[in-house]
Amino acid sequence: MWSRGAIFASERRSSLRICLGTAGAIALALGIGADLLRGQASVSIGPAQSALSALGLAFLWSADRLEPDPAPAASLRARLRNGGDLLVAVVWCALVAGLIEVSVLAVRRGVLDRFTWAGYDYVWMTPVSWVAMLLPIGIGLGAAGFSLPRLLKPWMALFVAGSAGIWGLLVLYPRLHVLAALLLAIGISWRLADAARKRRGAFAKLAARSMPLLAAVVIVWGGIRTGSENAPTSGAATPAGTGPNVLLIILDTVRAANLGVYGHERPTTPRLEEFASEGLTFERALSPSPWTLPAHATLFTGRYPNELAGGWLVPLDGARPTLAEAFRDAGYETAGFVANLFYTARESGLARGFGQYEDYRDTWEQVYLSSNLAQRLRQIGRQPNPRRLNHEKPGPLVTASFLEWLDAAPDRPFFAFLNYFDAHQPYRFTDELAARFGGGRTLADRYDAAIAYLDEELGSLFDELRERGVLERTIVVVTSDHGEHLGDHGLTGHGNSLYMPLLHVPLIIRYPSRVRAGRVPAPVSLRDVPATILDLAGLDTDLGASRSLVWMWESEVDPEAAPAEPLFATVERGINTPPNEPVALGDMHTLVRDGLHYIRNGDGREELYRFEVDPLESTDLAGTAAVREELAAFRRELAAVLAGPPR
Amino acid sequence: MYVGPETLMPLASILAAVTGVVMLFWRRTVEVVRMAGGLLTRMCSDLFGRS
Repeated sequence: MWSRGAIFASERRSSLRICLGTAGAIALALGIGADLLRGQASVSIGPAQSALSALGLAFLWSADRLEPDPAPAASLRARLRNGGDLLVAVVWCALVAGLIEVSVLAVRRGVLDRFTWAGYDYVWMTPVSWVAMLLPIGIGLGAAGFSLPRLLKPWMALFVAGSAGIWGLLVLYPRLHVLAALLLAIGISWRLADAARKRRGAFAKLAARSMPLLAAVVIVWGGIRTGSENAPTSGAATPAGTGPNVLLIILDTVRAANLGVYGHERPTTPRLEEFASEGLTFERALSPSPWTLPAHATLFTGRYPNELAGGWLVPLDGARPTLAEAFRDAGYETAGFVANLFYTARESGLARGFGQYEDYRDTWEQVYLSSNLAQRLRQIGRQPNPRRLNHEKPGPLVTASFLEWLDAAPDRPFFAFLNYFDAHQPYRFTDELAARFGGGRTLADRYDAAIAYLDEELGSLFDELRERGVLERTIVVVTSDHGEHLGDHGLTGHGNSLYMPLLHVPLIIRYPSRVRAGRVPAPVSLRDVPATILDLAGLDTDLGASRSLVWMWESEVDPEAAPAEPLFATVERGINTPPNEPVALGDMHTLVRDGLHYIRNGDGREELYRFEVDPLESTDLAGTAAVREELAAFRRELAAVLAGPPR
Repeated sequence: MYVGPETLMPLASILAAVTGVVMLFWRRTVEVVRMAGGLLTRMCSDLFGRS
């Protein structure tokens, strides 16, 4: 019979043992998973990780020494089984967390019709990412469980892996602080682990038995989704088209003012200047939106953003026909190759009509980034971003994918769309280019270097197409979706105002057999680009209010003297908009006509600039009596545009 | 009272953190709640028993 004191001593020892064991398991897991916590895709064991792992093992060893009632040494088979159970428990947690995350994404996209910033491959990539991230922890715990079978049990693995899994899922909800989510995750997994501990062996059996089923779900579901994504949907069923090829190149986030071809003092675009010398340059092409999705949507549908569904959180719907659909129906091969994975990936709705559409990369980095756990770990210490990070896609990859597709494409005309993302923050350039543009010290230096990087890439593409004899049979359109603020108006980035740095974009069309070389000074909207492309290709598809610009160089009418309708642009309040940005006050609209730039802010305040004589838009004329009539006319015109065709 | 997105994050986070701690120390919490309940019951019975 034990005395009362002996019982208390035994209880204290037991509590201490559990505490030491749990702390040891966590330290060991953290030691092994330290690289993952720092957001590294690969795992390496450095001094810090080794020290933490050693501390964990020391705790575990100490706990083992506190065994109140020493049992005979476990057999080799029992040790192996215990280690295996620990490993299986961790992998099971990872698979369950991955499948729950995929289900959440599916509901968000399929039921709520919201952006997930995730491709179809996430169906298999997300669980694989979870397994890859937690596997080192599982192996560490498994090895420790083999060495210390009496101490480390599968329920402890459930606690450690469950905490990571539940935390990774909880932070899907952006309004929860990461530390609060961690406390809740630890609390929930502690209760689950406690329940598993009380039902000895039941959890290990459940994990071992259900794991093949979970793995099968990942493999089969992933296979089906990936298969359906890559299924050809091109115009193979229709007779081959007879028109010229069309290549639409969109340089994401490139403002006209920083291109040498548009008079920039730095030589950012020697190759584009060479290209433009054989084509037609529109000196004042205006985007209908200062950010990606609405601008691309207008370029594809010929409708202003206010006529289209789609926004910061909502993809473009299928209500309006697109340029790609028109070419597909005319017997063209259609393909898109995009590097902006935030707003031009397949889920954006822009892929409609393309037989082939390449967005996310199939790389280990992309697999790693496919779980929310990896996303959050990668973003530690950075500004929270509701959009998912993905493995970036440099320009050369876009070009290579397109050329590879071209090699294998059937012998019929093509419509191809390329989106280059290198001039988007954080800006991509080489050291050599940085040195050429001020050492990359200022924002403007880095932006110019990124544009020069893009220019080199375009030069390589044009060389390759010329060598293949494709260039002369192809209508090539080079433009951008929107510009960038580089400190002008006290702003950086884009999507936050309607000033000219965001709206004035390059537009160059090269098709020597139909388009004369030269320049068009009259302002035009990107809304009219799709109709112009269709006109040049000889198709008579009607795309909304988009009007062909061919008359501007083929008719006798002087475009500058011809009466012009006002050009419209708009932007809606973004996600997490800083209060100093103009769009923070609400949706903004603008009209451009007769050298005047009218802006209506979200709070109703108006601005008016003569952008041709005041290119920096530093003098707001809206408060002066001299422009009272112009303001009244703009108000009427804006009301008419906004009352146009509904979405 | 205005409850907007700015107040929702602290509220949700506080609630989550408290729930997490309660779940982590579940037995202790149950004991404390029981003790507090018992104390309250005794106080009430003392108070109303006298009057």
